[in-house]
Amino acid sequence: MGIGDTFDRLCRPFEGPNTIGNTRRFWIGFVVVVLALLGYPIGFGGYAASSAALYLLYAILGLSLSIIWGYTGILSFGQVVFFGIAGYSFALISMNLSSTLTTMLALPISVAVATIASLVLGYFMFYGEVRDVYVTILTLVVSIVMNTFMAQTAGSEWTVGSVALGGFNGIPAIPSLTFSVGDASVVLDGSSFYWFTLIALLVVYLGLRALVNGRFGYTMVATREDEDRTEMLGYDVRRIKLLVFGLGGALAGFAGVLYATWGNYVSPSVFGITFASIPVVWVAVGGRRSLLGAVVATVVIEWFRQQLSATGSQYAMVIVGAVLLLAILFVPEGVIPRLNVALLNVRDRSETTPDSPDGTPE
Amino acid sequence: MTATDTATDTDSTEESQTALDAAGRQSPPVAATGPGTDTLLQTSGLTKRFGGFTAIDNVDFSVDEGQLRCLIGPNGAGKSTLLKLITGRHDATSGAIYYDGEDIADLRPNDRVDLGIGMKFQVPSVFDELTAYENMRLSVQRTHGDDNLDEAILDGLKRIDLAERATTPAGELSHGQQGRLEIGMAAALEPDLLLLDEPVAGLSLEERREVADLVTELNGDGIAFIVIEHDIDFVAEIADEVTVLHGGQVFREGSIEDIRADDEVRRIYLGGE
Repeated sequence: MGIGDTFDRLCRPFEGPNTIGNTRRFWIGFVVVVLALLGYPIGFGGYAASSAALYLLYAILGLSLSIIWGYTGILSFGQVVFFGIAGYSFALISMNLSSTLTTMLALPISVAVATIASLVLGYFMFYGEVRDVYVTILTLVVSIVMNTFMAQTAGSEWTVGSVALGGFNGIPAIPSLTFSVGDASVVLDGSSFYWFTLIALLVVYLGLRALVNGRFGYTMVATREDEDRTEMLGYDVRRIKLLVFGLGGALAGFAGVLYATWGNYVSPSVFGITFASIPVVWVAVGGRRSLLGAVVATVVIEWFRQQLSATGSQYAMVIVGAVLLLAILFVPEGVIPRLNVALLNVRDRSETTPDSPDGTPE
Repeated sequence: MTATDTATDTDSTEESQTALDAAGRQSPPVAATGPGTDTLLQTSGLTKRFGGFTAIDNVDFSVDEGQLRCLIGPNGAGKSTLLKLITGRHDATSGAIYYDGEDIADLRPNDRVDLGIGMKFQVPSVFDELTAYENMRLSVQRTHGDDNLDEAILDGLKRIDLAERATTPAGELSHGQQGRLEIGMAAALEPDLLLLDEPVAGLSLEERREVADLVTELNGDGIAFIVIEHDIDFVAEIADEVTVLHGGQVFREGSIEDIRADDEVRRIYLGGE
């Protein structure tokens, strides 16, 4: 009983009405899944782990949209902008100052650059009273502009320090993340990169669970539900939206750095309209108002997309589009929240049946 | 603060406000609210134009501390617009709104709430998808730390007789309960002035009674009120003072007896606008 209580107490900061999975049963399952994921590279080897790491870093990108769109009600197509900006920043910083120390520093600096970019864009949108669909359009336009701009940087004049931006071809040979203490250094690739990304995803997921179930999380939800009403409770909704947008930018930027070091490559396609719309699909299918939904849907859809592409199918995006359409039509709240409700109903039924042997019909 | 200090303050305010302010509005030289006066809120030459239509026309209107002032008038008289100007939902075309000694006309709505002005909208506007508890939490967490948050939220709900409905989504509460929840949320912000836009419209007699009791109780705690209401019996029950708006201007002010006895007021209500 003592262990159970301690377990419950440890879980409590991450529980609340703004997330699904607030039972001991959920957390036990959660721990089992995390342990299984930690063991994945041991069972399947470094190559499989490396492929899977891509889905995990995408999940961080998915979470960045979940808090902005699902929790605060701002549909942004711009998450890839901060993802790409951080990826390019990491490439430029780490390749210009190539030493293990600068590779370590390049990570936080690149995330900071992406965060500042999101705060600047957010400031002009939210303090300029841009609302609703206009935010969506604006963020989409910014990603298209970035895509077009970076694609035309093929000329030799587009060189930052010793690194050419490379136009449509992008920047190859970006160093992997390397952590060093004294003479010892660890290069993150294969399994180690997978573990790093998995733990990062875990920290981000739990951190966001604590956030959305806390004071600030309530104000995010209130802002989503009714901005004018929220203002009449004394909250500065412009500030709330800006802070969430900045946090989303930071998370997307972090994912972008992971992406650039994962494939040692970044190109303008990260700003492209296809990639810009994919996070919206993940979050819509998984469940806008569910952090877990965003993670699960991202991993499943990306795994699926990868399998189709690997077999040479050209239809991956068509099928993903169809999945989005079906989800919007039949499970508008998202697949994971729907499954959660179904599971809770099953549990309630199995728990109430022994108590009422007469089988009182509902 | 001594009387001399107050006088000096007022003098300096006068000097600075005869000039055009940042928004280009000419603020009349009065600052009759704040320390040393009983006046909590004072509008001065307040005007709001929508295109060619003047909804609020040069209105001087005031509320004393702890006073319950009802605002009546025919449809289109500008009552709701006046409240929206005070809360900052609309920006004034010209004129000033003094609250507790400062001109708040350029402040954002949330900053005015922070100063102590609360509002209940005409249509109950609670957060439909959140439970009554979560609605109340959003308000109570502005004034309470984490230690006694839960207790304070339940106290807030008890005050409006909704403690039993804590886990009900606000959208599933009755019209009257939603109205009470909204007033309760505004009151939980510990305001000095509460603005209510038709708090009993569409309510049953019993629900009306509950709202009247709640308003009287809060008023007894020292909260001043501006209440827009068409129901003259309700007004008679709660009001200290009544202001009649007509065509965007203050038409009459006085006690409910005076207003009821006024033939002119009866005329504008019964037609011939």
